[in-house]
Amino acid sequence: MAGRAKYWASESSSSSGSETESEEIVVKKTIQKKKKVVQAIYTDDESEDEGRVVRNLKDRRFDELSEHIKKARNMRKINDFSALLNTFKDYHTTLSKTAKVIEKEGLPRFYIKELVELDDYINAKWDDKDFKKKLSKQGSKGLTTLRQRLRKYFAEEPKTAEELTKYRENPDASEEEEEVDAASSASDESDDSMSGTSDESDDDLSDSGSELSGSSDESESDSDSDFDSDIGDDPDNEFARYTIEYFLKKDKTSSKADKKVRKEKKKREQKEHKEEEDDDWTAVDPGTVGKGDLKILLTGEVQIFPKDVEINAKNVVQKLAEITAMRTPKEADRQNKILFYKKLREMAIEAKTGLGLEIKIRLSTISACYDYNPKHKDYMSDESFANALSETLELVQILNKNHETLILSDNVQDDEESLTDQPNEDGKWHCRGSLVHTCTKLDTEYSKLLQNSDQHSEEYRMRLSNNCKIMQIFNEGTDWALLQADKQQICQMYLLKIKYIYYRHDSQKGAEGSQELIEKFCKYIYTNDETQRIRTQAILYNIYNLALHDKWFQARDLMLMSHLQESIHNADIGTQIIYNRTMVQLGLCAFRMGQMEDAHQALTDIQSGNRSRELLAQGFSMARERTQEQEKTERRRMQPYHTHINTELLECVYLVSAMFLEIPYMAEKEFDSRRRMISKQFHYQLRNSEKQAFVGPPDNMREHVLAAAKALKVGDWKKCIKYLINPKMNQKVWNLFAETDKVKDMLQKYAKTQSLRVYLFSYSQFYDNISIDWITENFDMSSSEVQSAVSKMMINEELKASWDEPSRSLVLHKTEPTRLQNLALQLASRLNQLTESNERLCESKQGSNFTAFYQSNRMRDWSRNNNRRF
Amino acid sequence: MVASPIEQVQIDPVVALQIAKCFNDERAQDEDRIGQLTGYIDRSSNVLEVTHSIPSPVETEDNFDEPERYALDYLKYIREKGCDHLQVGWYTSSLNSEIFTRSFLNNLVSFQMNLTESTVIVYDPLKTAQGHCSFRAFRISQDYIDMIKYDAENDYWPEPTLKELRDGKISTKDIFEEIPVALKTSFLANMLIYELEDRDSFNPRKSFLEPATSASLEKHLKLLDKVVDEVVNDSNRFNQFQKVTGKNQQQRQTWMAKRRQENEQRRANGQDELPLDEVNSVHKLPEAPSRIEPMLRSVQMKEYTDAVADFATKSLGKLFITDAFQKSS
Repeated sequence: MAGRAKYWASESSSSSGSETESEEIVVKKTIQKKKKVVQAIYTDDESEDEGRVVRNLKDRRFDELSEHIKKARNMRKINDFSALLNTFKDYHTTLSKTAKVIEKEGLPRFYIKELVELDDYINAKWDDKDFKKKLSKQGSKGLTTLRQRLRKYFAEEPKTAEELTKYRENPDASEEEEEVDAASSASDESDDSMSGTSDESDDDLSDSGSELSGSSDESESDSDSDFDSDIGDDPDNEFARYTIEYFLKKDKTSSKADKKVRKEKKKREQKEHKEEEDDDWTAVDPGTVGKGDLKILLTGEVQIFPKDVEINAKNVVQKLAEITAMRTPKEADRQNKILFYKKLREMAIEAKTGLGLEIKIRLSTISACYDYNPKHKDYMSDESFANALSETLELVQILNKNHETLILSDNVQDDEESLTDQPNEDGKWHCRGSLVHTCTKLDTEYSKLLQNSDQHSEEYRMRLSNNCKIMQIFNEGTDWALLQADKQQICQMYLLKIKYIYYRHDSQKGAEGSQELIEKFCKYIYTNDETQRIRTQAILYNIYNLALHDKWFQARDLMLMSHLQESIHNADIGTQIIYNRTMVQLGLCAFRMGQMEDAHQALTDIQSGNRSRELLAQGFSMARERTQEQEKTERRRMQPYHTHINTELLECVYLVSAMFLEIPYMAEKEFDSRRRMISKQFHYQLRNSEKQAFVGPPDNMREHVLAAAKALKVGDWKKCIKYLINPKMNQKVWNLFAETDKVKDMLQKYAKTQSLRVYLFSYSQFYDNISIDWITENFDMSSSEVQSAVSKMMINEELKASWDEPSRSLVLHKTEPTRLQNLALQLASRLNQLTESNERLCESKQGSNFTAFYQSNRMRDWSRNNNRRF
Repeated sequence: MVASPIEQVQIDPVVALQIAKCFNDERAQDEDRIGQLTGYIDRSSNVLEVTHSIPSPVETEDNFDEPERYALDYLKYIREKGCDHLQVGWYTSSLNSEIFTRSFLNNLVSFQMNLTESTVIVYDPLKTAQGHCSFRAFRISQDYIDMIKYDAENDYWPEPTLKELRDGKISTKDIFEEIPVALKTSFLANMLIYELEDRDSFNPRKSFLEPATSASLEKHLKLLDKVVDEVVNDSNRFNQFQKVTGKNQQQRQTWMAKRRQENEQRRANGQDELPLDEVNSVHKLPEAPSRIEPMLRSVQMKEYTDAVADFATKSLGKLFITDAFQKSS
């Protein structure tokens, strides 16, 4: 019989109908205040505790307490007073948490014993003058404070003091007492729920006036915070009377306070009912459904209604509200709540109270599953998630089965809800709620669950396996939405589904045909969506998927057509993250297709500034300082691990593409003073590597790319390829592509062409003409490839040369400026800079007048020189 | 005793060959090898005659005190042999006229402080290889020597500040002085040269008119470009310094005015006045950029431009000759 939870029943009495509207407003306010008041009161039997696996609140608290006591005993042995003081404070906190239990049952025996021992100990030490002298300063201070605290405690809690004296008189008697107590409470309880209610409500009524005046509100809420100091045994405290006697009807003159609490509860229930049922449901017979009959029996059975109550829609609605109103600070309570819901549902189905009600209960159950305290835990437990999952699935299935007669919508008004055993006038069940929201919630909770598990653990894999179940729910949900023909809902469902498949390559197991699906969904969304957000995200997912499957031109065109690049910074952060991911995927795709410029351009935003992990929501960058709050929100945005894009791959692709662009450019513009950098990051890396006195053989990816860049710089394509494609790089980077060999082929071809370009830029000045055969031989390219590459250079006016077909050779034209002239030009521009900066210097020194003077002087000098020269 | 400065450096061909050998040595290519010069000073005509040189051994980690002992031993030997053993300076090499560096200046100062007549002979192996035998002698000007505060014990002197340079009226061209160098061969050697000329007559067809300076010119232009860039940076730095100083000056003035006002008030109240020199700790003067470095760079820049001009005139001369040849033929 242990661990029965006893709740206040919702007593929506008919008599309270007399209360006016204004009173209700007052009540509402007090309800908010009273939220802290614990509503559940446990009546427990110690004797049967062992049989239960789930330990109830009281036991846990008491264990905690005895733990503290054990500690305190050790402290006493070593005379550690400051620690002892802390433990003493711990008693208070523990007891304040257990206040309700204590009120009912009195202080636990072992605690009294401890207090007695503590008191004796302190007194003994206090009297021991020698001991005190020996104590350190801190120790004696601790002793003094502790003694004062204890005195104060006894003074404030005369009841406890009384108990202490009782204990001192008769240290053994208490055990029996406790047992007697328990037995009586157990036996009284059963009739309590049935018989006592009516006269109680009478009491309530008589007092209602004075309560609502609000005079006692303050003292009430105060008592909450006061628990620390006076542990409920204080006779001055109204709340203190709120003990077991009251419930056992031994004390008929219940105080204002406890009634007030109950009264409020009653009103709240009433209010909720009013909201839900409107006028039809104001008059509920208080006699039929009593309070405190939500119990979980030892056998695991859930008891909701008293045995002989007839189960009808009215009662079920009422009970549902009652369960919903349960406050559940503990995990265990939440589980119980779900059990209650389930039982209620079963009973409702059995009693045929109607489909509308069933759906309503289901929705409540699902939201109960998601109920967790975000302060303590960022995510729900696996258990509740599994619960939520199966509940949602069932819900969707029911919806689909009854799609003709059931309407689930947010637009259903309170008074339209079908909460009777009969459908509404139009022959359909109306229910308020939204399947899309339920599914979205499922999705967010799921990603939270994934965010909060270690990516390499079995746990993550386990959680990930929920994917197919979720997909099943979404599939069914989509079916339902399609049947309802609600475009917006269909769009939302489609987007949810896309979210689960867009990152998967067709070649992966279980992802076959995802391309067509996404294509279909996105097209539907493009034509039917009315919100900008869904459309934007759909476009991004679509591009991502296209890029993933190497459909470069389609993906690029879609990106350009959407004009997202111009407007994306106005989007919400979630969408921006998707955008970043999409751009990156696009860049990778361009790379695979051999479009180096595009690859470089797509990746450059993400790669510059060393923030790629952050921008892709795959981790944090260490550099930035952030508050805990910021970190938390950032953590919430993290992408689940299985959708991550490998950042090393990204960096490698970026560097390689930058290399292929930059090195030929550098060779071409060797003497151009206006030369700009294509990739800052690549330059930085290259400079760093060139600064090193000794360059060892490359080890990591970056060093490999840089070594390749250096080889490319002198047109050595063999070395370049050797550094780019080798087992190490294969393992680190290239094997991550779906079609590795293709990528490698592309790389080889690219490296050859680019080294030819570099070679011609750097060394063509030493040639008068070059034979094509020599080039084809040295660069391992076909003559047509050579012709195309070199011709392109000629057309772009990068290389001054022409073909001589008969001799199959490339004739190079010596043109001005020559190297020397180039240098002279460079020097001239540099000297210009010098004069400018010198003039600035003079200006700052002499003021602007000087400059004018100086310039006219210079002009004179110049003309004089000229005269002399000619 | 203030002796009149040296007006000419006269190098014995032996020394010239010794120096040339030292730097044509393969392992000497990439190191700044220096050696010491001995000789005597002809006070009557103020000529420094260099008659012998001692190449410093390559410094390694094991024998880092060896060069000195080596030099001393060497001096002892040549003295026993009856040669001149008076140290008159040192020699070094430069490629592409890259001479005037910080360490060059420092070495020269420290030599000249020990021996006023010390000079340095700079040998350019590259130019010599191209046919222009290049030995140049430098010393630090007396003005500069007078200006710096040399600490003889530690062989150290603080870098001259901007103010000192301005007060000493030292400009870029006043740091180094070049002394004319003469190569004086003995009569016997002269005879040998005439003899050789007769035997293998001078062949003008062989690369006589080729302006073979292109590589060197390129190199010089590149170096010139680099040094100009550095000077631009210096100039910008100095500009920045001016700005900061101006701002600082303004801040100081406002601070002083405020402090004076405060002091007046305090005086009126009969309180002690606050010190005015606190300003230095409140508004610290910005640190002036080094002046000597830009000056050295300017000297170096001048050196490059001279070299380029030299190349250019020679090449132009050759071009004119070629032109004349073509017209006549």
